[in-house]
Formats: sequence, structure tokens, C-alpha cells
Amino acid sequence: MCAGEPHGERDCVGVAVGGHRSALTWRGHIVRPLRLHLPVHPSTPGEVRRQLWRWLEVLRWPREDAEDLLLAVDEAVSNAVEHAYNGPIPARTHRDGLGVELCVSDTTATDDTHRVVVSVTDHGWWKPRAVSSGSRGRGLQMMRALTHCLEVTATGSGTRVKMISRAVQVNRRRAADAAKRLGEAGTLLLLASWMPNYH
Amino acid sequence: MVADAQLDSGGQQPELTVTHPRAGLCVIEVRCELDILTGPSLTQLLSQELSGECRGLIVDMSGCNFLGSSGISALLESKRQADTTSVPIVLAGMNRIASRALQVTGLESMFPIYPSAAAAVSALSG
Repeated sequence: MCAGEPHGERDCVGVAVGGHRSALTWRGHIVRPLRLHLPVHPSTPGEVRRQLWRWLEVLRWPREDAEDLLLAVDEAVSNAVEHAYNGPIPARTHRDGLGVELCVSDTTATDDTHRVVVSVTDHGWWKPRAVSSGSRGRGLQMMRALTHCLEVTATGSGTRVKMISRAVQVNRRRAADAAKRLGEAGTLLLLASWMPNYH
Repeated sequence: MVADAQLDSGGQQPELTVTHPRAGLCVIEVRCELDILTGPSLTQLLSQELSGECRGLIVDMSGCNFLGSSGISALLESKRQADTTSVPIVLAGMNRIASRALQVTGLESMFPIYPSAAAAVSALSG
């Protein structure tokens, strides 16, 4: 469980825009969290992986930590696609799709340590025990093993999976390089929103 | 079947190809990410090969740069099927992320793993 841990946006070093906390500062530069709203489709996990990888590349997240996060987020999104909408999908639910949100959070006492906070929200309903065996049970096992903490919450309108990555040491040189990149091309990349075409 | 996988790829290019370097030896080359989109195609292909004359099966993972739990399930299902007829099934050319997926699920020891398909072919031919 992620008790006592950062809880997403409010823990990101944020900048309020129009009453919404929609950006965070990272090494002195404004970087938006990665927010995706995606259709419920088997191709969606792949799309999330590509976007996540690009986002982490811009941040120069260490490769092995980035790969672990990729595996964990893929499981959360695959879970939502496969199980959140079992049975006939009401038109409204289908339109709502999945929400995936990631941000970088300063979480620890040391200034050089960062984590990624991930939230995968669907508007269906499933419970961990319903997927405790087989492929999806393995998925939960993977998510736990690959992250610092995992929390699955039934919300009023669906299910939310929250994961916090292991802490990553960001050395000053890497941070300076990343800040420079973010200032030039990275911010544009991160600001670009991707909206799926619903059918 | 491979054609079906390509049709269902949604832009991704799943490529699963089968070769038979020796009689009874099957090499399935995976050149795509293995996830919920492509896992079912691999399951189907492995099952088809194991139902034939296959006496040894090599899954060449050198072109596979992602392995999620659906891909792992496909491998495990084929392992179960292969075990019933004592057909060895081995993995070759695993990259770091695929090895990591097997490691965190505690399944690393389920499959003999060779550095390359060629090494696996030699081992199974001996």
C-alpha cells in the first residue's frame, strides 16, 4: 500500500494554472505531467508504453528503472483493458476510456532523489481478488515487484491503480542536461496532448 | 495465423515466423512486442507447432523488445502443452527487459535460456 506516500499531483511540485494544478517544476523548468486518455482497446497498452518511454527519455530516467516502470505500467493498463469492462460495455463507459497520468515527484529528504507517481484510472470495476490467478494475477505480482508501492482502489465510478516508482538518484550533471533538453524540445513534447479518435 | 496477427496489429507489426532448421526442430522467431495485442497470436502459433511434428521448440526472443504477462502466459501455456509430450521448449536471445519480466514473476528457471537461437539449435541437435 502507498499509505503516507505522495498521492499524485498534489505532491508534485506544481504550478496552478486556471485553478488546476496542471504542471510541475522539475529542476527549475516547468514540465507537465504525462496525461493520456485512451480507448479501451488491446493496442492501448502499446501506445502507453511508447508515450511513457518518450516521457522518461526526456527526463533521462535511468534505463533499467525506466524499463521496470514500463513493465509495471503496461500491466496496469492491460489489466484495465482486459478486465475493467468485462461483459457488454455501456456506450458511456466505452467513451470514458482509460485515464493514465504520470508525474515526477520530489519525495524524499535528499534533493537528488525523485520518483514517478503513476495513476491508471478506469471507469469499469474489477477487484484484485478477481484477477488473483493466471495472467492478470501475474500482472499484479509484477507491478508489486517492480515498484516502490502499489495501491488498487475502487472509486465511485471505477478503479484506480496507483504506483510509485523506486527512488532514482538524479545526479547533478544528468539533471542539468535534462533541464536543458526540457527547456528546448522536451517541454513541447510533454505539452503535446494525445487524444484518441473514438468510434 | 501470422497474417491474422498482422491484420490485428493496429499499426504495430507483430512478426512471428517459423523455421525448421532440422527435421523435428522448430524455431519461432518473435520480432514484436509481446503484450495483450500479440500474446494470443503467439499462443496460437506455439500450440499449432506443438501439435505437429515438433520434437524440440526454440523461441528466439532476440527481436522481442517487450514481454508482458500476456506473453509470459503464452510461453507458459506452450510449456504445459510441451511437457505432456516431453518436447523441450527453450528460449534464446533474451534481452534485459524480457529477462526482467521472467525474473520478477519467478519463472526464470522454467525455461532453459540460450544466448542465441544458433546456440539453442546446437544444444537441441546434440
